[in-house]
Amino acid sequence: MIPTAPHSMLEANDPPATDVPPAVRLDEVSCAFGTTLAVDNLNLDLATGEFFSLIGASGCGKSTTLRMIAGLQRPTQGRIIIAGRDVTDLSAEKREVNTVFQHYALFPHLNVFENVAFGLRERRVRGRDLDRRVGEMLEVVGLSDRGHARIRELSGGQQQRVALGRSLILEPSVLLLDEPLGALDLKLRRQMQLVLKQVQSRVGITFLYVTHDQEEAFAMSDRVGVMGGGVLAQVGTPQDIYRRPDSAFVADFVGASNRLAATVTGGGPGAYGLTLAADGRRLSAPGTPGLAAGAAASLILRPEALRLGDRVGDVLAGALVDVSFLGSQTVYTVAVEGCGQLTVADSRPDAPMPSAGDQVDVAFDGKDAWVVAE
Amino acid sequence: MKRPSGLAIITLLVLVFLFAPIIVVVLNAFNGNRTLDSWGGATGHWFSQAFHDPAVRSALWVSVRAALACTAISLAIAIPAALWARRAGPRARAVLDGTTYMRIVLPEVVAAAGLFLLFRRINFALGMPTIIAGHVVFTSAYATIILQARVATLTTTLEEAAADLGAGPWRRFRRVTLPLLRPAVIVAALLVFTFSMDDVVTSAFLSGDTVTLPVLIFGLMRFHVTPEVNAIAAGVTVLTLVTFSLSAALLGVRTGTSMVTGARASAAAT
Repeated sequence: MIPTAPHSMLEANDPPATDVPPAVRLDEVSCAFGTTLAVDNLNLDLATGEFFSLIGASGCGKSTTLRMIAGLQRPTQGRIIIAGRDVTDLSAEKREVNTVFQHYALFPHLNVFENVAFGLRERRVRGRDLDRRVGEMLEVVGLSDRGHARIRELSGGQQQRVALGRSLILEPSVLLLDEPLGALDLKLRRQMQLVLKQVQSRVGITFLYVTHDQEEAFAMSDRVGVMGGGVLAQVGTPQDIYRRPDSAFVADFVGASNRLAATVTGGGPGAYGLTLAADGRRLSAPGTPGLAAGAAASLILRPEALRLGDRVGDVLAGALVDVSFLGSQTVYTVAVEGCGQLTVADSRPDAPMPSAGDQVDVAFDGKDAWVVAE
Repeated sequence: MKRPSGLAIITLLVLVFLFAPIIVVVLNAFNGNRTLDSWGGATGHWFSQAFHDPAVRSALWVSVRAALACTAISLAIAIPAALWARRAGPRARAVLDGTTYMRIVLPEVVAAAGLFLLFRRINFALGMPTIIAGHVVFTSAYATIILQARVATLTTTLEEAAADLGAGPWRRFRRVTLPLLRPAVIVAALLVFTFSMDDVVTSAFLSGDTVTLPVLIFGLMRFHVTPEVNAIAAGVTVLTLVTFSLSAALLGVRTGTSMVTGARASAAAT
């Protein structure tokens, strides 16, 4: 979609040195609106050149965090440091960060070229230099032939790319993206995810990406932060977040998960001993550190860690409630006595197709499960 | 043939009532009979007489200058007021709205008399400045209301985007806010200009020896209506119509659509 055009940022980009300060540091940042605390004592370091995503439900404080880094929202407490410089008291126009807004916020009275040129004109770039740089950027975002188009003549995907080009042309040290793909249909979203990822690795700019879509975040990010209620619940690689969530909240937010109530009987993070609340059976599973014997815990089982109709490992007997064939996988809902309804996913092409009401066994291995505090 | 409905008859009567006087004025402007008792044949004499009358020419010039100054000052008041109202707290907003509507609701003669007394008290000579001040009192209120309506359709997102791209407060206003407000600014300017051009009451109180065109016409008519007055009125009417048709044509093609897309863009941004 985006041609691999030569760009000045490529040459300018050196590999990140080890002693450079973090691209962005949030130091005990809070933001209150009246009595509501939108962001609560956030600490976060973004490494230079990394693709970091903040995910969370709407109202979790992720957009507020982004706006504070952009300078569009003042934190009520804490400091914001960009590339080693405290910018907390600096207004948005003086910060070396740029934003791709949720609905693009393109200027309707300017054409594509002038939208992309907006920031350069503020920096007093004029004449041939301006034409050249805007031309190059339009090429990077694949809109070379649409320079004179009005914004309203563009499709959603094209508008998205204008917004991206308008920000990237200023070669910010950090690019902030606020649900930039939210308004696009699914297919275009996937396409644009690839585009964003390619652009990011090409220009080497730190990306801070805000989305409520965990799949989108996983697909693109080096690291992901999960937010809830203004608090950063966990930061880690997508694999960490998905396989080793710190809490039931994180496990629930990133993908469907089954939770079985259990009590810790002993052991350590590598293998906790557990008693399952449903039927008192004993089993062993890895989990988050710090769970003491006797603590109430949740056993997290991803749908793909469960096997239908298998009797190897731990087996739970239940009744099939629903079978949904989704194409790439088949999803079963099974009611298990004492455990509620479990979701089982099978991505084999020859997945069994029993009918609702059938008695079925659901098997899992303790090592594929994950224990978190209740 | 279908019998005309009651509504059609009423509409027709209203239109006749509204436009008949204007038609009579225009016709009499060409009336060859000096006393206007009857039709004395068509003539263009009165127009040429009015046009060459130094009193008429100077009054017209006074009116145009006053209207231009009034337009500029009203916009200079209304644009910041409308933008400020967006960010103002509820109490400040109530004060602004209150004073704005007050300037429109207050009977013109009261405001004019008040200003007249004030200027007399402080010994400020009546003339062009007092005419302009008197007009601005109410024209700036109309302009504020028109601009506030437009500002209400804008979200702050585009200004935030401009700030994000490095534009300071003044540059944001020049490059984003003002262009988006332009349709409303043009409409407000036209309205203010016309209101100032044809104002009689305020001008009569505050003009002193500086006579505006409407005040001149009013004075001429006090004794008897001459064909020359009709010619001046017809001339002003034609001028107004031409100005408005031109601006309507310009606005209809350009700002009509940009108003819609602007509103749509800001709706999408919310």
